[in-house]
Amino acid sequence: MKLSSEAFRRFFELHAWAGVVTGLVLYVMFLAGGFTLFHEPLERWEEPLAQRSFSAPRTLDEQLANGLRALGSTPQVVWFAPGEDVGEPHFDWQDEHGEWQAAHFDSSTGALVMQRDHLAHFTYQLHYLWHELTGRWLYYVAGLLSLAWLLVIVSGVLIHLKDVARQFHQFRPKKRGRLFWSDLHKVLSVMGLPFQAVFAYSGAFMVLGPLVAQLFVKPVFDGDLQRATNTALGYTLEAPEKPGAVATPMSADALRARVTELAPDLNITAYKFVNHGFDNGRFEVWGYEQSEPHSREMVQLDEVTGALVTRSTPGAMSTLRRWVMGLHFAQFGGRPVRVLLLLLTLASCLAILSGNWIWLSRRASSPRRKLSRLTVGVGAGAWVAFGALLFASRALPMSWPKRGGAEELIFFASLASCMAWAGVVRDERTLWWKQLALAAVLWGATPVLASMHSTAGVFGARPRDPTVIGVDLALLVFGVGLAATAWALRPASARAARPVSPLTPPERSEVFRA
Amino acid sequence: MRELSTFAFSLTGFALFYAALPMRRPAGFPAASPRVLRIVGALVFTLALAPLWAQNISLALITLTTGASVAATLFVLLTPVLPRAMWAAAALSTPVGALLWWGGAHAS
Repeated sequence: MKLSSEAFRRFFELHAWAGVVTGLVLYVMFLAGGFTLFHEPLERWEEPLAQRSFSAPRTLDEQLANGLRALGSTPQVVWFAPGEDVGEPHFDWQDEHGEWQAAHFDSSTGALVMQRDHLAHFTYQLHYLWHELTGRWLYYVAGLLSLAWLLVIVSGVLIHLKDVARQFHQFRPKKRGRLFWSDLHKVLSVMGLPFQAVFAYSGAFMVLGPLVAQLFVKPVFDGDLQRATNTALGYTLEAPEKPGAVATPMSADALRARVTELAPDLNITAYKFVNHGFDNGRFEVWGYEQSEPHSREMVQLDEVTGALVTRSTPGAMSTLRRWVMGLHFAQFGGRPVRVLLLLLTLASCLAILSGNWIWLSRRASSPRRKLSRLTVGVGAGAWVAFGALLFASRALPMSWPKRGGAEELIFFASLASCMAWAGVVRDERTLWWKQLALAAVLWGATPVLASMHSTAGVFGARPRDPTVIGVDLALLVFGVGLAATAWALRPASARAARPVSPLTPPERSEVFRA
Repeated sequence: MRELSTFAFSLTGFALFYAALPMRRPAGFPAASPRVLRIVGALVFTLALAPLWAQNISLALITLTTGASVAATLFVLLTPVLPRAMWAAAALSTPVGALLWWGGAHAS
């Protein structure tokens, strides 16, 4: 299929401008998404209490009672993730101001240790531009960015459809300048097309879907938002009632056994207690069904009688949710698929950068220089910022109550500094290798620093934890990879005294001759 | 294990398609017609689905596409730089994939 020259021009401009305008923010979101693929391992890696091993089995009742005793009171809603043979139990609850709090129970002291590291939490939220300070509006921007990304993908396919087969395999590393970046961009984009299309669509669907669904509340559900929400979720979601009369609940272990009878395939991850210890108390179990892609399922029991109150039910919406969210959250195939998706994420990041470099090579105006510097500042600076976040996560004292906020500030300050650095240094190639070398130091040093807080990693004494070792090794691999890339770029910068990057004027004339 | 074996099979499958392109075929590559190479490549890709037989077909195809995307990207980008290593990896990856598949099935 070949487009008319006018259609080609319009789609080309749309592809180029939409890509350039959204690319660098998406780049940071993608890198954060790479972290998010390993959210659970990172949560264990960052918190030594989550790595503690136990030889004797612990009942749910015992762990719950310990946590509530340490808390001093029973909040109306408590989330509880018990420890199995590894890890202390984890609690989430709303304080008197309605703020969510999170803590691990420390069995050695009998006290709760408030969440002290923000690495996993922060990178997870950064992936969809959510922060308590910015609230929903930036989150919706993330949905619009996903939509824009989808537009970039569709327009890219349209303009390259006529020779997509050739672009499937054409990569000429000996060419320089725009030909090199163009080959790289097309190979990465064509190969990563299924991945990018699925993630752009599912990302936009998850963020913007609920907004669009509100249009149907009036005509389909007669304005009943609660019923519409319950239909969409596949289970009843209601605000908790006020606590009733004091009552003795059934044992949590007995309630769990009841849930296992009702839903034998449910892989339980967390429990939620609502009005615990009252006659309208509810015991909710959350987890994943065995069938892939997993989706989050729920069973709710009456805490006093053990009777089933509600549970997620199969249906069209639950199937849609299962596939859209299951694919986006990579709830299939286990760790190997997540590693493959991480590689595709990195390929997408390179596709964004190469797209910018192609755009830059076609223009020679003032905005060109700004975008060129911004591309270095964010392209290399994001690696420094994530490295600084990792480094800070292990270097800051565990007992410092404000360390979580400090980690976030260090991330943004590092990114801003790298962008400012890119604004003042003329030789951009030098900047690339220097920033990547700095990132390599930060990423590579993190596992060494981690041994200060945990004995479970590569540089710790025994007992070791395979998950923690895996994270340490991954960080070392990234550190070595960044160092190798910086090293590879270094001679080029030494040779090239010219300030422009990635395409110098002689190269540009070569391209036009070609 | 099964996802890794699918990835390994995909590498061989894509290498056969790549070799079917006259300008990409390495020196000394067994002389076979492009059509034969493509048919064998398609068979290897079909074989790559086999370790995923326990999944439903949609998910198996998604997993195969994920593995094949990574395998193809690595192959196209690295073959011009490290041709011998990549062709050797492509040749070895099917037996390695079969071993992973067998090992995974045996372990479970």
